[in-house]
Amino acid sequence: MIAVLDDDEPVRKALVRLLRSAGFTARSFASGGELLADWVGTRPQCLVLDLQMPGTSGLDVQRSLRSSGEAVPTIVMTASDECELLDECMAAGVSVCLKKPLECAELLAALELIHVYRDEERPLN
Amino acid sequence: MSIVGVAIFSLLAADVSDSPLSSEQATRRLPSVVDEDRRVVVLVSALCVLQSALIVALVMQRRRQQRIEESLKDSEERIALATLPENLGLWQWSEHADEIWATEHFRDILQVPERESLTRASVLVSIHPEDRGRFDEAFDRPGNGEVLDNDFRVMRQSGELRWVTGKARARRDSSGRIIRVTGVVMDITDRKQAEAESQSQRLQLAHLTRVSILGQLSGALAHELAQPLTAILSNAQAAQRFLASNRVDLMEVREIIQDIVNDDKRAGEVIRRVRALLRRGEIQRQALDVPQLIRDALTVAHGDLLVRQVDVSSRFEPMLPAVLGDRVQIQQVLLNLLLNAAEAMSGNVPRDRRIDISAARDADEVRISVADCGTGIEAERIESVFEAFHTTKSNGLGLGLAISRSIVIAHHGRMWATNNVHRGSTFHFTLPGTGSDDDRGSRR
Repeated sequence: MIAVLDDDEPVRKALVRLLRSAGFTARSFASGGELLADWVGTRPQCLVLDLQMPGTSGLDVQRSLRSSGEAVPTIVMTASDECELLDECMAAGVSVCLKKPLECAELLAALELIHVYRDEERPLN
Repeated sequence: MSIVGVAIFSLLAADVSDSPLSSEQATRRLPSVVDEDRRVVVLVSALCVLQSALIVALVMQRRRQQRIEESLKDSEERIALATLPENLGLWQWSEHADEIWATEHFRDILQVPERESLTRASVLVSIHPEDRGRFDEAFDRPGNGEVLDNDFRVMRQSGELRWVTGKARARRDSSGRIIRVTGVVMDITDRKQAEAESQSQRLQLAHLTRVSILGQLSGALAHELAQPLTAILSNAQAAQRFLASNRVDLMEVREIIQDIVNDDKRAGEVIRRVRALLRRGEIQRQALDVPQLIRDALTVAHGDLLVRQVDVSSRFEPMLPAVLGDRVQIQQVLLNLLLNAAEAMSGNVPRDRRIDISAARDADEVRISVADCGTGIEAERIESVFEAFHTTKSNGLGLGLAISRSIVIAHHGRMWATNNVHRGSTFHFTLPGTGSDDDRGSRR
């Protein structure tokens, strides 16, 4: 399951749809607080985070997960191309950084890169 | 005088021979020649007196005329002299002769040779064809005693155009006919040029403000547009995938298309807002609601402040009067202050980046203050930050505050900066409230 975190409702909805169309199960969260509060019940395989959000930003979420040893592979999305931000992301352990608007092929390639599988192709334990 | 003397002498002689002799000797002497021609003598004497008086009167008249002419010339000279430093040219037209009397300066300004006599038609020739009507009005239009005020261009023989401003006053007689027009002209080419330059400078400055604000906002714009575009692209690509699969849920595809339409409209709205902000055009003064102005500016800056992780809180005094101003320009000032405040806190950790924006009544004005918690301003620079090209930013031109202050001053307001007690600085500006003593719907 992939957790999508974005403060913008239409974006959340569209991303969940896109992931579903590609065979992934996804759930959306409107804020970092919402995601963290529901973390134990969710335990996603992967996070798709928006970097620019009011309140707890995507990076804050990533940092707090890391500090509690709960880090999962993370893809961040941003409309900004400030290098400092990218450096910050890498320092916070972000796996992939994608520019908004997201290209479907890029998102799928990134998911493959961090070994997130579609429901039907998940390797059997 | 000699003629008068002779005349008086002859009268005296007539008297002397007339009265004493005649009373004593009348009875014994024959009438003398004098007695016989008495009438003739008296008549000639009287004629002599009359002639002399006439000559005296003519001499006096001539002298007076000379004096009048001299004093007229004097006063003309005095007027010409008085108007010299002001570069004023005087003229007067009288209807009965269709002749224009004019000072030397008038001839200079209108480029008429000194000896040439002037008429209504001959003066018109030197005026730019498009402006002739405006000059010529002075001879027909004004009412009695009314002053006509016009600017017109004069064509020099070299082809050079000069701007001239003129005032003319007409006198009408009892039948309403214009009998005399008196006027003054002044060369205002330099002033017109300065006006044109300052107008073009103002336009350039306004353009520069828009460009610099657009540059400052590009990050925010990218974010504001990226959101709907992300949603549109993801939705469209999801729909493509759904349609390509075996089992198509048409309900879902319909929903997706509706969402795409909505997000497209949202992107259009962002563009409309930016266009409104950067709109070229004449400055329009209108009554503006301050809290709404601030909310609009915050909406535009939203993305940028988000990227910079800045929190904003706003505080508005209730019942603020509306202010009179140009919406776009005041928005530009607000955006400039907001973005500067955000910039000033870039060294703070994200949790510690706060802007407090407030609006309060200050006598007849409304004061808007934007406070940051950055490093503040060194005391000696608190005034120089408003100078053009004063900047601490590596990527700034240092024009933002200079332009903002000039906008505020043009709105009859003031702009200044203070350091906060704790830390950071606050930029304030005031705008005059509309109708501080009437309530014509300007209050909320």
